[in-house]
Amino acid sequence: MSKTPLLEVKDLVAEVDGKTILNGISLTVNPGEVHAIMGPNGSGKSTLANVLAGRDDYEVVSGSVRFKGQDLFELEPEERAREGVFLAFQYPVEIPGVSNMQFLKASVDAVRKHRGQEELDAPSFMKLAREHCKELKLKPEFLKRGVNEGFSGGEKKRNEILQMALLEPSLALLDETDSGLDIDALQVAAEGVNALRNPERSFIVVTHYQRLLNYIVPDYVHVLAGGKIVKSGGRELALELEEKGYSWIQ
Amino acid sequence: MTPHDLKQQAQQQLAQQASLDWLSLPQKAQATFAALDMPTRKTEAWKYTPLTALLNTPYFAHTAAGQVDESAAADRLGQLGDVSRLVFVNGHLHPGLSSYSDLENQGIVTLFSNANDAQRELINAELGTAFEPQQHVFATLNYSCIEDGVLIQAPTDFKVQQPIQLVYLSSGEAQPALAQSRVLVYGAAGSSLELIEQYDSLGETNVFHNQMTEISLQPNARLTHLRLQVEHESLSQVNGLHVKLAAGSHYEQHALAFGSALKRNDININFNGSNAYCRLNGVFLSKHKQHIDNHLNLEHGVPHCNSDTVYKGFITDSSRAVFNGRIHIHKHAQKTEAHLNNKNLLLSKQAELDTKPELEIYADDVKCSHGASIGKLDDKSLFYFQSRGIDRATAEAMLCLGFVNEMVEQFPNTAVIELARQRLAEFFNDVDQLNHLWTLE
Ligand SMILES: Nc1ncnc2c1ncn2[C@@H]1O[C@H](COP(=O)(O)OP(=O)(O)OP(=O)(O)O)[C@@H](O)[C@H]1O
Ligand SMILES: [Mg+2]
Repeated sequence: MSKTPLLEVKDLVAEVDGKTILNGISLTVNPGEVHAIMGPNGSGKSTLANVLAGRDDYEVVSGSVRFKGQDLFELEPEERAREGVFLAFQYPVEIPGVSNMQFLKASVDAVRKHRGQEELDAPSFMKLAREHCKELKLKPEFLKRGVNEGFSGGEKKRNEILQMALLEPSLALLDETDSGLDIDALQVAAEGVNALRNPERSFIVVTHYQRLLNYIVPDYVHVLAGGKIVKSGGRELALELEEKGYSWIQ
Repeated sequence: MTPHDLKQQAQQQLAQQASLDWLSLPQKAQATFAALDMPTRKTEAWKYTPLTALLNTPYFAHTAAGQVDESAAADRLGQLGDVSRLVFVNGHLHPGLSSYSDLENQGIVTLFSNANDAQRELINAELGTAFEPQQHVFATLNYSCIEDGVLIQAPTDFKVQQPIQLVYLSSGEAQPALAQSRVLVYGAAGSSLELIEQYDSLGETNVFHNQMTEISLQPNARLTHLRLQVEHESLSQVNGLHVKLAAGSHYEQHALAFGSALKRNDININFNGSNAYCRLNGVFLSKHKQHIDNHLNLEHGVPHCNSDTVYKGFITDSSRAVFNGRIHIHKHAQKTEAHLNNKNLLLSKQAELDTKPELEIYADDVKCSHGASIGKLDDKSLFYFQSRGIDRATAEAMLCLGFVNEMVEQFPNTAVIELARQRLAEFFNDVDQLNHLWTLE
């Protein structure tokens, strides 16, 4: 018996300024699955993640995406987030003047409200945020600072994981969350992800390094090249790629 | 009506009032004021300042503090903790709302009218010396008649623990009124002081507030100066701040200013001794049809002085803002390090901003930079908010607040930050276009 897919991407074509970047992507993610996407620089991995999250720089030319059975493109980016799509950015932006705590609270409030959960009062929220910080080995001072302001590369990535932990998404898109993390931080971040794994929640993990996949063990590995998925396989594909590079596929 | 009514009117009105008889300045100021023309659109420094309405309004100069609702007034003062406070209503001291007897007894805060001989001498020696009268016609108007004023004097090598809060409240009068007030701050050698100037109002006002603040810091004196200009938008104000810095002195200013019918700030910093430092940290906001004009002039006249100026502007609706920041490095001012930056958020097509950072350098061994930028809200940042479930309108509001807050959170006094945030909340409460900014290109 087949489950209803959480995410169903069909023949997705997207362009920017008339230049085709995603050139017919099809991908099905079932609840509970972890998919890794690898591929050369500029192949369209971040574009795919951003199109799914709703960034409007990209024009969707054709194809469809269904998320929990509904047309994802009908939803505004904030509605997608509330429905459970989460993008951990490859390059998180800095927002001086808005404290991380304010930002997280506004975000969690919006998402909880949509899900019919009651709003957390400030003290309970702060307690929760501090607990997650501790798990991710982020100092609580990070909550007081401007969003990502002056954070190191690795701190920004951990801040993304912190947000994911607070928002409890059903589909997390992790765009090179491992890049810029030291070995310990990588392990901490991976533990953060693994702690969230459950039979309903799915992950799409974009990475250049098979090392991450030792910690976050994927069900499927896809190779994206030239805006297309050119090869899919199991976990062993990542090892093969590490050994041989991408040229043998293309 | 001729555009020079304000001048005639003011001269007639002020002639009926008496200055303190021991002051030498008013007579000189009267002569200068009489000889000067009021600025017009053709006066370079006033090119963008809409003075017509002001110059055509028959203001009367009134002689006593206006009637105020004391509890409403008390509500506006904020909770700044242990401070000495002087409250002026339309230019006149309101004793009931003020409390500064400790510092008065120590001779740190003195009304001109209570000055002893030594203080009179100091006032006569210092007042009117931090600027060029020919270039500041409203300053000469202010000094044409001096019924009273405030002298703040930090004694040699003395750290004044209690911040001094000066509150200028503007309220409605039966007729348009001219309110003039003035402060002289004298930091003796090695002293330190914190001054909080709060320009506020009790609802709508038809007052034209002409304010003068002069600051003289002696060697190694320090002043932390916080300024909130958060009055009702019906106010008109011309505000002159002139600072003299002796060797090794340290002047740090943090300012938040809202636009109004007319608001004009002239800030003039004079480096007179080496190793002095000045930091100007400001943010101005204008909305509706408000106007705000910021003119900063830093005169680096001696070597080895540093200045850092960062001003941010938030301009929306059909308001208009001006930023003019000039660093002038004189020939002998070697080893100066001076930086000035003005960053603006312009959120509406109908809004207008004129920004002009100027650098004039006549010395060859200096490090200087100046720059200005005008932008709108950043798409990537907005998307970041949205990708976390926050709707577009909230994201925009939060980004706007963040832009302003980045400056306000640097204020070195948490109670003043709190007060600033209360006023900012009032300001942002009714920005007409905050909800549909994204329809703009
Ligand atoms: N907004 C944009 N405007 C123009 N070109 C874009 C834009 N966004 C992406 N591209 C181009 O699309 C291609 C795919 O970019 P994308 O960021 O998706 O690659 P990637 O696979 O994530 O690469 P990397 O491994 O380096 O992160 C690149 O050639 C990139 O230059
Ligand atoms: Mg990428």
